[in-house]
Amino acid sequence: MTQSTLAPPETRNSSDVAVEDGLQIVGFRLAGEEYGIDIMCVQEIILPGRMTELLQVPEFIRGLINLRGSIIPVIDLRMRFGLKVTEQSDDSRIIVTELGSRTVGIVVDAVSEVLRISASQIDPPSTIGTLDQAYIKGLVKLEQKLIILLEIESLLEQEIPANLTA
Amino acid sequence: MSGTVDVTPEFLAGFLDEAEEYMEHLNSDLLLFEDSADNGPIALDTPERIEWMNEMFRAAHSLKGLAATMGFDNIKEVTHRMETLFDRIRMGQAFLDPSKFETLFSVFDCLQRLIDELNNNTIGEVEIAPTLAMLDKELQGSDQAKKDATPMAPENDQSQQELPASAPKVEAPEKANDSPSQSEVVEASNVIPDEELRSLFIESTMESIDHLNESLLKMEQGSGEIELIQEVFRMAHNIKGACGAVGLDDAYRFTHGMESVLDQVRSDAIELNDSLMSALFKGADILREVVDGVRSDQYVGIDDAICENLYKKWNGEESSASEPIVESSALNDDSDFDSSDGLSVILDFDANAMDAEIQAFLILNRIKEVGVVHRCTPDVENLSDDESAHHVVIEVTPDISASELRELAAKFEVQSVQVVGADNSASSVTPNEPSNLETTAAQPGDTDLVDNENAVSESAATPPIESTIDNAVELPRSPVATEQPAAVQVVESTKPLPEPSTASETEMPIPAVAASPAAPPKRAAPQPTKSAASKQAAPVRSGETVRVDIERLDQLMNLGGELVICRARLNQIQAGMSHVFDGVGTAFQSEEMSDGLERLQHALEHESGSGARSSFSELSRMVQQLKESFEPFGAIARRVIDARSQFHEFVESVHALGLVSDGLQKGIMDTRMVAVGPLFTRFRRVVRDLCKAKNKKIDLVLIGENTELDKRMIDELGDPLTHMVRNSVDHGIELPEDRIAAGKEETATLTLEAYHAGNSICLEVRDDGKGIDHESVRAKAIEKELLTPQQAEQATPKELIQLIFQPGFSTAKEVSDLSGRGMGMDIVMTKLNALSGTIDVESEPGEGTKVTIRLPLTLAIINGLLVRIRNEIYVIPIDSVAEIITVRSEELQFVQKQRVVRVRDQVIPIVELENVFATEGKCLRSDSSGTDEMTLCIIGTEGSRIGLSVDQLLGQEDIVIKSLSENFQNVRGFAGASIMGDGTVSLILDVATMLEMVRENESNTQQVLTSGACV
Repeated sequence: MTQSTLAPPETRNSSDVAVEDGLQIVGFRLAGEEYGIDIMCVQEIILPGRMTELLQVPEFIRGLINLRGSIIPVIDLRMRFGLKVTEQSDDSRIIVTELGSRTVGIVVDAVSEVLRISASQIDPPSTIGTLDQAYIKGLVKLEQKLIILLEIESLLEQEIPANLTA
Repeated sequence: MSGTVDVTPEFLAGFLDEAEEYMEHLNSDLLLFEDSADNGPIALDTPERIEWMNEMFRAAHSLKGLAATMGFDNIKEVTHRMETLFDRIRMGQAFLDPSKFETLFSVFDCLQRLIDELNNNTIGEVEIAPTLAMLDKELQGSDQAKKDATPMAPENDQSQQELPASAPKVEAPEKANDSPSQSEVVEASNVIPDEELRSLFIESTMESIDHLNESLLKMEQGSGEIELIQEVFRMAHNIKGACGAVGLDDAYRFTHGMESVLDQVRSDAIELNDSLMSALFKGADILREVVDGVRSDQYVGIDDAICENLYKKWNGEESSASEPIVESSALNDDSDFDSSDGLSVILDFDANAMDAEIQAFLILNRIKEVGVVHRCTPDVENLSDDESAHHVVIEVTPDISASELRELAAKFEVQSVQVVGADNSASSVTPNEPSNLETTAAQPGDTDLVDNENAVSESAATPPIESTIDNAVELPRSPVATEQPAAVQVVESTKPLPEPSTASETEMPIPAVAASPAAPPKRAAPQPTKSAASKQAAPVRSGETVRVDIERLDQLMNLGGELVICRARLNQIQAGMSHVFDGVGTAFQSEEMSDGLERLQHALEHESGSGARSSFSELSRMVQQLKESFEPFGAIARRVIDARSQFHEFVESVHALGLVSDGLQKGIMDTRMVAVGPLFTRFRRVVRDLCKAKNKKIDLVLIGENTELDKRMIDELGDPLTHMVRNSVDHGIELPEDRIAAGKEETATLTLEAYHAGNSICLEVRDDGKGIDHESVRAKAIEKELLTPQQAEQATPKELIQLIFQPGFSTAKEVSDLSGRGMGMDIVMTKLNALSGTIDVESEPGEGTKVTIRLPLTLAIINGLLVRIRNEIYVIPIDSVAEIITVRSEELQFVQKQRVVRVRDQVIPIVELENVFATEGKCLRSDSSGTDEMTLCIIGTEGSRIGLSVDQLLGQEDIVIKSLSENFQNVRGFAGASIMGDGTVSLILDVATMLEMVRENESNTQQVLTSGACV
């Protein structure tokens, strides 16, 4: 196996996951910006290994990996968001997300931290930025920085173009 | 009417599974009847017919019981009537005539719909009233017939089935003649009011009874280990405790009696003999009835008379003549004691008679001349010297009547002879003055029990205990033989099964329980004892089968695959480590070195001693230091040696792991395999119905029913096969008159055949009908604009036949209710593609059509060729690879800028993988044009082949297929992916769609081809 499992950094602080109308997010970096996804979607975080390229699929699908016997597709978020594609670094990670019955990996530049945020900290998506609004759940305003909260479900739904289904 | 299904999915699944099985039996047996029928009533005059009828009865009975337990009232209602009807037919009170076939088939259909609606969870849509009315009408008819025809003796010699044939009967109690099922419910009461306690009681007691039965069976089979007896004792004790706890006093007393007997058996105070065994079985049956009574709120207590009898039995009152159980011998053909429904001849010899064994032996020989002897206890043919045979029981299916049999036996020097039938009757004759009163007194009881065993377990007639017991009790009083019809009547009375006991029997569809011979048939795992007799009898379900959710098997399969991958990983690690241990003599070298140093040091000391030169002593000191610092290395070297031997063990373990994982994988695979038989037999009915509808005469031949296929595939194949069979019957096979006109046999032959062909399974549907008419296909193709007239003209027969797979393509002049819309073959094709199967049609006009489906052995594993193309490893299913060739660049030719190669007069286009997938951005190419040789895998089917250029062949391997759609989606051109030994993912090429894609690319863009050509 080419990936080794890492525990999500500073894993969920004890069991009080669902604070009232708040949520925990996994923060990660992508092209210098901070993003976050709901921790409930995250199954695990692994080191990127060798991927098997697929043909006949959009470019941002980097390939397939073997996650303990399941074959899962890996999406390069940089490519997805039309950002400059760089070589993988030591910090690169694959966030394995679980949505319904599907498991999908997302390549990110680095995983930064696990944060607990409250609903009041989330602003609705603004018109700032180039990112397709459908993917953004909101902006998290922290004291020092802004985190783009991704709506992971819709992100992945659109990843899979229906017209390619055999 | 039941509104909803309130059973757990597992139970429901179990029920559906089993119900399907019974439906299959019903259908196929009725078909057998129909096949063998002339016009007019069908007499049950051959053993086969009787067996068919019995099987149908059993199926109906089991289905009913099953439905009753699950609370599916509709099904219960229908099956109950059906069962009654079958029973009457069985008993000769009604006749199966052709007019009934349609009725019965429609009843079956109704049942099937009821079962289907359970499956689809659409309860309550099927109307059963018409079916019930139909059945009631038949039953009324037979009621009439019964009255008229009672004196008619049914075929009473055919006693190798449940029909307890001859056995003279003392009297036929009038009251037993009415259906006892009516009366027995009267005293119903709710014995244990507390629901929770009740279900607990039922559950635990049932379990104990099952155990009890199981252990008893083992005991009967001759293993008299003390553990078994202990087990039986413990179970009885448990049951006693449970009965006591819920206040079932009579059951408590009953089990107490049983327990004390067992205690004596345990302490060797009583010998375990056959009759005691039967009595114990009987006891277990009664206990089961108790529990069933509790379950159905119809508990009426245990009949005292029965208890009395059993107590007597248990206490071995007749055991004076008892013999130790003799292991079943050559004589004992029929391993299933309970189902041998013949007669038992019980011989008692004077205790002083010296030559009882010889007498018994002679009698046995005589009996053998007139019937089939199933068992003789003790086995007088193989008696050892110290055994005696003063009490001999011979079980026999005679060709003569019971009284004749008795007379025959009585000719010898016997104290008393009893001939006991399978019902509750006995006739005994005492040629000599009964000197041993005790013995004779006990015997009627004995016979009663032996037979009850049959009667009870077979028809579970006991809740109307009264009637049975009355017979039993009356027996000794009038041991006068009467004629057989009377006997049969009594038996009848016990047959229409009362509700609660039905539950008792069918309650346990899962094997390993019931000692009841009427247990559901088939699912034949081979019985250890094979004999003519047991072959005749319904195949007994083997003791240990488990229904498993296929999901679980899939999961196991996955884990097995994982294990294989882990093993491969270990192999790699092992390979990586092995070089560490390559240096063999390291340890010796280190020792030599330290020796050398020592010598050097000595030499230096010697020098310094003589010359007293300080530099020498300095040197010596340095050498000493060196030696000391070298010391640890010696230790390390020794550890390395240790490690090396450990490593060898590791290698061995890895090897062992490999064997285990292979075995495991194969084992799981085998578990998934199911015979195609049941799938095929389904078509008997389909074909029969089609024939009726189309006025055709067809003989359906099934070949290779034992061929095994992955269960998943079997489930998926029903549909395509039905389409193909329909096509054959509807379009292929001509009407009888046309066939005669064409000089063929009037009856057409439709063959379904399954066979292995290499790594795949082939299913063939072939008929000797008129074949596919090329001309009409041609015309239709032009009409549908699939081909231009020109193309159509040039098309070869093979190409024309391919057209039938086009959706909407049909040459049928009119759309019938069965087929003709032209969707059939398209559906077949789609389904087969999903199963990665292929289909091939051969048709000879006037001769017939043969459709062959070729399927991989399993969906889960394929044999694949591993090839490297650029940087990735791909798997090509080996079945799609026609050959592998190496060509030099000068052998390449160009046709319209397309590179082609000629292989034995076939021109094969060469494709690069990226051309197939027409990828624009992605370039897999890492430049392979360095050499002027290229390796081509010729893939595809006859007629449409391409040469896929590959960079390296890596070998052949069994590949576990993983679906891409599980976490992603299906990608056209790939059949899935697989995980390699090193944990990476490889894609499996889907050759059929690849070919399609190549064709599309050809027609779409010539560009791609040109770019492919310029390598």
